Amino acid sequence: MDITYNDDHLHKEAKHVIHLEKRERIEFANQARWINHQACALIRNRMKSLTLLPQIDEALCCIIVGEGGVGKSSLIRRIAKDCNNLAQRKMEGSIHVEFRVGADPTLVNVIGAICEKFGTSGFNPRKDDIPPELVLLIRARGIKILLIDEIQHVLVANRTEQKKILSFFKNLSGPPVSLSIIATGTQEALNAITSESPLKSRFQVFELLRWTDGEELRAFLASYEQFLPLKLPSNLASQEIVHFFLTSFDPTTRQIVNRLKWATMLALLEGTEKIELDNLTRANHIPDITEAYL
Amino acid sequence: MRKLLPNVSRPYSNEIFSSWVHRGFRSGADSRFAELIGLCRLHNIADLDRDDVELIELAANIFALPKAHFSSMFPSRNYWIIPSTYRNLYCPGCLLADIKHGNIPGYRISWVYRWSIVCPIHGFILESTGRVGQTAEDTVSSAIHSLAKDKLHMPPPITTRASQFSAHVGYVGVAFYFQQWIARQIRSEKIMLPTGQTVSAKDFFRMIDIVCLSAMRPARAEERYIPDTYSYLPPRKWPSEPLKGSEVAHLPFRDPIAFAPSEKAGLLAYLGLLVGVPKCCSLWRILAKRSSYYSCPSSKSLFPDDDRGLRDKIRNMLAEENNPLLDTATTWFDIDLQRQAGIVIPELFK
Repeated sequence: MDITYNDDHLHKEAKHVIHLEKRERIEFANQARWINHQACALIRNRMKSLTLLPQIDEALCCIIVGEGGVGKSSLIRRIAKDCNNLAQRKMEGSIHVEFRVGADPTLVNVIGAICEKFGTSGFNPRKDDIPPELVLLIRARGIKILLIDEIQHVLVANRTEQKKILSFFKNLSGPPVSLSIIATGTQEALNAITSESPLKSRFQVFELLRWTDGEELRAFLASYEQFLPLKLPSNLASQEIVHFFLTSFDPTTRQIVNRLKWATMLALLEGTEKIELDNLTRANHIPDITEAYL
Repeated sequence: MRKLLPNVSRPYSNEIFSSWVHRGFRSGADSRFAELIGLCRLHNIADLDRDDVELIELAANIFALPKAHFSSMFPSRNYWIIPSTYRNLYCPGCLLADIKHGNIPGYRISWVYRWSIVCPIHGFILESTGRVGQTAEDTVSSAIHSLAKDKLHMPPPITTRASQFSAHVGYVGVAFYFQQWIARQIRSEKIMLPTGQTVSAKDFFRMIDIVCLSAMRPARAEERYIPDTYSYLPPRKWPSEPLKGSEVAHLPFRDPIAFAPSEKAGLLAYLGLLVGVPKCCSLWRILAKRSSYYSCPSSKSLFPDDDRGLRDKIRNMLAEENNPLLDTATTWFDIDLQRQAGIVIPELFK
């Protein structure tokens, strides 16, 4: 049966997708997508302010704390993009370096990961000092901001190495490079940082929480719906769907987005062309999409 | 002019293909770069910087762009390119400029040719990482390392150097004019020699390659021929470091073109003089008035008539290939370079 539809409920970037093959629509639904919402916008604006201010000796640093799946990594990528956009507007090179603390966090590896962002291999550290070669590269590139994802991985290291790495970060935030560090991590990472008294005073803490009932969640769902490649509106901001999200599982961004992606795939495979409580309830795992690829 | 690559991270001006691909791969923002590297390995494409039809097709398919968009990222028709594991030259000025623009530095096409000794943008003599077995990507990484270790110090450009070390840098100046002449010539498939003869670029570079046989020597062999073969070179550090590990097996001969730019400048300057590039000849004439190094250029130093029979080898190889430049090369064996370049020896040097 043909469905009568219009595309008024879709964002202009998504309107053309509903005319594509089922496989392509599934892939569109599966793409990572940034939907701005109030909590993130607040943090992003503060981080933008940080980039606009001239550098000071004892740079201001921030840590964004939250449990897994609340969108910390997406947010830090967005902040990186904001930094890039700002640099492009000013017709300058980007002022940030972004790196992720690896699974084997030693000071040498952390320095190696930062150096890799400058296109070279690591320089040997002397104690917890910043290698002078790295100082030169940071200055030459005009880096002001260091974005660190998954800072809680530092806790995997032994106590001595942890102290070295945290002390190295403290040195990075002071002269001669005075980088503003913006890190994301879990509550444990915050505890580790605040246990180091010199670091404690430099870091401002921002928290990303799970979703709660309110206008913000409804606005997020309504915005996300505009990018779902479905021919019919789903009215995701309705009371019953919001209630489902808040009561059925931990309402983190990752959980909600995954449910929406999988429910969209079900709606496409089954031809219902909209998300309803029924397919949303069944979308607790990735659906079998092989038929769309045969 | 390079065409824009819509929806793909942009290459830098004059950046070589492999450098662009590896930068894209490292940034992790676009999975197509990883896909391309994977497919190249699958198709046994070892050198991403050779103008290879299959490689360009792969890139065009993956990025859904016309092939023409990629062709400008390759050296001109693979003429006289340094082997992939010897691409250890770089310009510190280009690297620093990339860093200052907030970018990870990239490898440039102009460093990949055997005749390149000076950066056409900054006028610095190209530096060498001094390591064998490096790809373009490794070279950039090592070069940034060395640059940072050296406190981002920039060498003086060639013009300033000339006044300080004229005896040495004169060869670099002449070789740079030869480099510029070739760079202009390879824009088309034909090379127009200053004598008026027009030959295909392929034949020209094959002839140069064969002529350079005379400057090759077996690795670790007795160096008894060296004074003859290299007598035209300025006072220099002899490249005596032995080859390491598995490289020895693959490289029975050492190619002087793979040496550091300042070391190969003498050879290239001589080639410029032999070919008769007007700017090379006129600079040589000026140098000859000031330094005895330049007052008596002799083709015998490049083509020693000794028991190795290099002249015959060169002649035979060119004849076997029906190279139209056989006569030209043969003429070079005994050419009077002083007369060809119009060099007047000052009384002081006679």
